[in-house]
Amino acid sequence: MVRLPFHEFDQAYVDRLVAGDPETERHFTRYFGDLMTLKLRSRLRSPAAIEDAKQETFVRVLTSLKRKRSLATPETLGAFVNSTCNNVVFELYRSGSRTTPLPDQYDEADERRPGADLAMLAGEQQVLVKTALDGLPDKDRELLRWLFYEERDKDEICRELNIDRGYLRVLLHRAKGRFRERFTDQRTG
Amino acid sequence: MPSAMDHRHAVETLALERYLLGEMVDQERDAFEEHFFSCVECAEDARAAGTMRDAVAGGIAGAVNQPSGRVVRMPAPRRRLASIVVPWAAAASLALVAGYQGLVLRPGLKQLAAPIVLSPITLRPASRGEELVVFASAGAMITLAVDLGGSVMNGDTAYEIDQVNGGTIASDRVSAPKDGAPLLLLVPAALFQPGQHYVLFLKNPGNPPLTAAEYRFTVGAR
Repeated sequence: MVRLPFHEFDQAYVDRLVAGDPETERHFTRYFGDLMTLKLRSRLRSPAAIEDAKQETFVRVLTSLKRKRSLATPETLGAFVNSTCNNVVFELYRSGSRTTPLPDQYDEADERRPGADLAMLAGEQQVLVKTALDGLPDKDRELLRWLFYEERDKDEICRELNIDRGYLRVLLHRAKGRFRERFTDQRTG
Repeated sequence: MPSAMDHRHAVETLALERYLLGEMVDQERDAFEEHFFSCVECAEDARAAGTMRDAVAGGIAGAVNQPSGRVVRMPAPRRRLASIVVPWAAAASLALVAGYQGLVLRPGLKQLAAPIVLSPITLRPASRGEELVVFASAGAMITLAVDLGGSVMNGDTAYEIDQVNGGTIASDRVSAPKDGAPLLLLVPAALFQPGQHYVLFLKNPGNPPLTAAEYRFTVGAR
């Protein structure tokens, strides 16, 4: 996640996007690229498919904006990107169902394997992210590892910690908050 | 059409945490996604959470002092692949070799000690569909998978990447891919200028009468 200057999604932003302003395009693709990665991870299995869907969404949104030269309500740009992304995913599903399916375990997603984006972040962000994670209390790091690396069953985690699912959310909320605080502190020096 | 979720409801119900834990039914998940694509505050929280989750899932978080004692679940063994994917498997192997070479040759990337998973962007001949937009982070590498469309190449293949209305930014002669595999190129993003159009020419010196294939793409800013 790259820290981005605040941009309001208003008519001026859309106008800059339509005009091909490099800084606005950079903001647009980073901001919505991160959101789409988060969204698509639960829908598509491979990093390559996620990247393809993101690229296709960007192409469609930018092509549509440039063809119409505007957006009726600029503040709905996010909703427009989201709905376009939904359409792309539906089309991927449909095209997939028209072909002979591969065996169930073919290319089974390995969520612990870093995607290309994550690997390529090494020079820019990976050190900051790792430092922020390493700076978390042990209990936070252990919880995050259980949830997202080992992918342990949530009920099993709750039993081990003697908590309920509601409190598991609270623990995740706190760990996430501490990570964001440390990550932001590092980026701002 | 998902029913709308407002910011207050999202915060009060720890929607992002439930989303990350996979606790939402499809309708609520869709409504929350619609919300964080439109709400800057939730979007920033979601972006940070996504970065955190991907980093932990990718294994870059350091181990805690006391091991969990759990056996890490390994990926399921893969079955024999259908013949159609064999060329892509061969291509993936080539990509890893190319990636290794890229690391060795690029001191700035030597700090990466772990394998890199590449996400190739498939280039198809210019006549098929709209021009592809390729995005790349500064300092990153772009993996291009050039779809040969079933063409049989003999011996060497010559490629050339030109900036439209500009000069050649890369060219070389390489061994032709085998058995319908795509030609994989790992190209430093620094060679490209955002917003510019490029065309990749592929020639087969072993068969000069064949017209050079053209692959057009645009590099978007990231």
